Amino acid sequence: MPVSASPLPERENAPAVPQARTLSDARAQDPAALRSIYQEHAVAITRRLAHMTGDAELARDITQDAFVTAFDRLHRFRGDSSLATWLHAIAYNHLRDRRKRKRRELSVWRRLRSPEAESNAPDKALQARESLQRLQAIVATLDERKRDAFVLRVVEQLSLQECAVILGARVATISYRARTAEAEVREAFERGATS
Amino acid sequence: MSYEDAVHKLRDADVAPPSFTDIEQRRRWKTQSKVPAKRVSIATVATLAAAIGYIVLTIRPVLWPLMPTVDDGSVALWRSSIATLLPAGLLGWVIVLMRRPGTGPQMLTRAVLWSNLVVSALIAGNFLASTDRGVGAAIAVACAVAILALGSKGLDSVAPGDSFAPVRFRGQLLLALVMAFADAQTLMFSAVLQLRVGMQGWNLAGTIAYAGPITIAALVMGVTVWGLYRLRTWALILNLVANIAIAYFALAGALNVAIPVAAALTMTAGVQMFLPVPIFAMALGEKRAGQPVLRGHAPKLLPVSVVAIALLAVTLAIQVTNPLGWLTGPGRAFLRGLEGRRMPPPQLNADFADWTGRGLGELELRNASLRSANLSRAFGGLSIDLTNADLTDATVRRVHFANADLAHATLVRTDFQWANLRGVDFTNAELIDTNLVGADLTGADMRWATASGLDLRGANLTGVRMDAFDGRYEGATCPDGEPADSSTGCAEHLGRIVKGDPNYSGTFRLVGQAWRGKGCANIESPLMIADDYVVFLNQSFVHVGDDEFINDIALLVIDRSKTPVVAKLMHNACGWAKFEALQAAP
Repeated sequence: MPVSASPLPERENAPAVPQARTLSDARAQDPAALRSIYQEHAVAITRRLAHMTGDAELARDITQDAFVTAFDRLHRFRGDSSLATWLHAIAYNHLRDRRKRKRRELSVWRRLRSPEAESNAPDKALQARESLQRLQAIVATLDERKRDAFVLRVVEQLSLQECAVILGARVATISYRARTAEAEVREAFERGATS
Repeated sequence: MSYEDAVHKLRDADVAPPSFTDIEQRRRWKTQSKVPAKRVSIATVATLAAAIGYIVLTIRPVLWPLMPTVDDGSVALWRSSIATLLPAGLLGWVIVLMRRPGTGPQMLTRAVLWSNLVVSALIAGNFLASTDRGVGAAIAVACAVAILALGSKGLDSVAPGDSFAPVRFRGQLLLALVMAFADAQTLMFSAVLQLRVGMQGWNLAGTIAYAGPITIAALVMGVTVWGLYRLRTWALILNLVANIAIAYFALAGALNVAIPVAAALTMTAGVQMFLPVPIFAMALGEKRAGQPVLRGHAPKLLPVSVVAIALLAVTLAIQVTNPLGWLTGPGRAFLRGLEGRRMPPPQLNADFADWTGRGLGELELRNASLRSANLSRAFGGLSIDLTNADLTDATVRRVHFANADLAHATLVRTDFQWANLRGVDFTNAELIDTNLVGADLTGADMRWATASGLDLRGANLTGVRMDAFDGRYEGATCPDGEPADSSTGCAEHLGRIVKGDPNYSGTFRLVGQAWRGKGCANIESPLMIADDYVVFLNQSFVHVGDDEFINDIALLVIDRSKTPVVAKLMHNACGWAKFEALQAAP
């Protein structure tokens, strides 16, 4: 399914609510506060999941599950990490559950298309689109753990500590996985560009 | 484009998230479809108890050698014990499943619990030793509690993306699914039993011939469940065809199951045959099809059915009545009557007759002369009628004769080693020097048989109705499920009253108080039990009071499995009173 098929979030109309108050209201299940949290984090979570799974539809499913769980468990959020990290960790747990259940290699990465791929992009963008698709195809070949580290650390540029909390691994491990993954992706990408 | 630019582009890729409305809807659905925590807790405890019950059934035979009452050798392991791990595992799975919202998990939870309610009721009433019957009844009660605690909450809420989301005929499809699952589990349970029995003493071909039909039936039913869950049309048709086949084969004895199980399978198959009728009717153009017949009554009928089955299981376990009796008596004759005409047996030359591995179901064998014949590994089960047949010196090793008829048969020096003789009718048969080593005689009827010199070493006599026959009993399992004694064999473990047996005459004294009622003074005096106590409707009654005056009549149950012998009186006013043998002399 094309990425742009689902409606975009109502980011433009989101009310500006201070985070602490939003959080306390959200814990009391205030709809406006829940919506505010959703609008602030849903896009990033969905995008990261899409990069990790290679499937935009699956990413949306997992995001939905993650927010349902998160909203039910907001009272358990103690503030040890940022709310964003906590939400991402929940989303990543759901992703892990799905992977355990299915255990199928998500070769559908190539189905994920950037907006340019779906729009009537001019001819001059053709090369850029091809490069992006090639990068996606290379990332899809990575081992799941390396891919997750690559997406969070290299693509999304989260800190090592945030990556470690979300992925439930040590900082050194994440650092190693991200570095080796990046080296592999870079080498493959540049080799492809010259051939 | 450089690598850095490509990564940057990837970072900026816009992937639309799910809408907030969808998340709200899902949360609302989750709240609505969730079974209340208290009910889940009750159901969890009950389901856990049922699973433990099955585990008890599994390990009890292993524990026998450790029990202080065992004073002789090894005990023949109850061969079916491994099969009880199957429902135990399913119940364990259900404990996890019942916590998940959505029609699928909730429906599977009900299906497993219903299935085990029926299976445990069959255990309570039919096959096993008295202890196991009690455990069976406890499992049935536990399953009933779990079903009632869960109620119908969660069954009618379709989760987004749920595979089972019918738009019409929801009730019929749900019931079809639950019943198909229950059938699949019952068939699989029986298949594991049969495979286990087969593999213990028989060759591969024999095992396949014996356990093959029911294993195939179980697998077909499993496929049906999978298809129905995904609302496939082929599954509905397959379900119909499979049920017709299962009903036919169960009645014809091809599934080699005990008669009550065959009856249960036939009954549920009959119900399932009618369930898709409205769906097919609508497909053929009948617009009014599918109008609920039991509008408003269905929610009440289900709890009533659950309680009724649980009560039946308890009743069967304590043997107040034997409602299955008609099945093993007139029922057997009725089922055989459905099979139509049979072929006459071929003329046998007694010296070299060899029917090894043959199916005997299609032959007319009543009154047949099969002296010295070799029928090893022959099969046919319920459909075999060897009434009044002469099997003197015949070799009948490792046969599959479950529920066969051998009434009035001559079985002198017949070799039945490792034969499957579950539920066989041996009434009035002549068994002299008969070799029954390792044979499975569970539930067989040997009343009024003439028997001596029997070799019953390692045989399973659980639930057999028999007298204390003379013979060898080392390693045998007695009718009450206990191991045979080195000196007295199964004489003290017959587990039932034998009419006219002088061993049951004696004087008993009261050791336990009646637990309810008033006016129990009459039975505090020693109780005289004579040969001529009253038998009415297969129940034994005895007069209570002194020798000269009959004050009351009470139901008598003597449990010979206990040492010393225990008698129990069911008295109108006093309820149960327990007596211990003061003297139980011939």
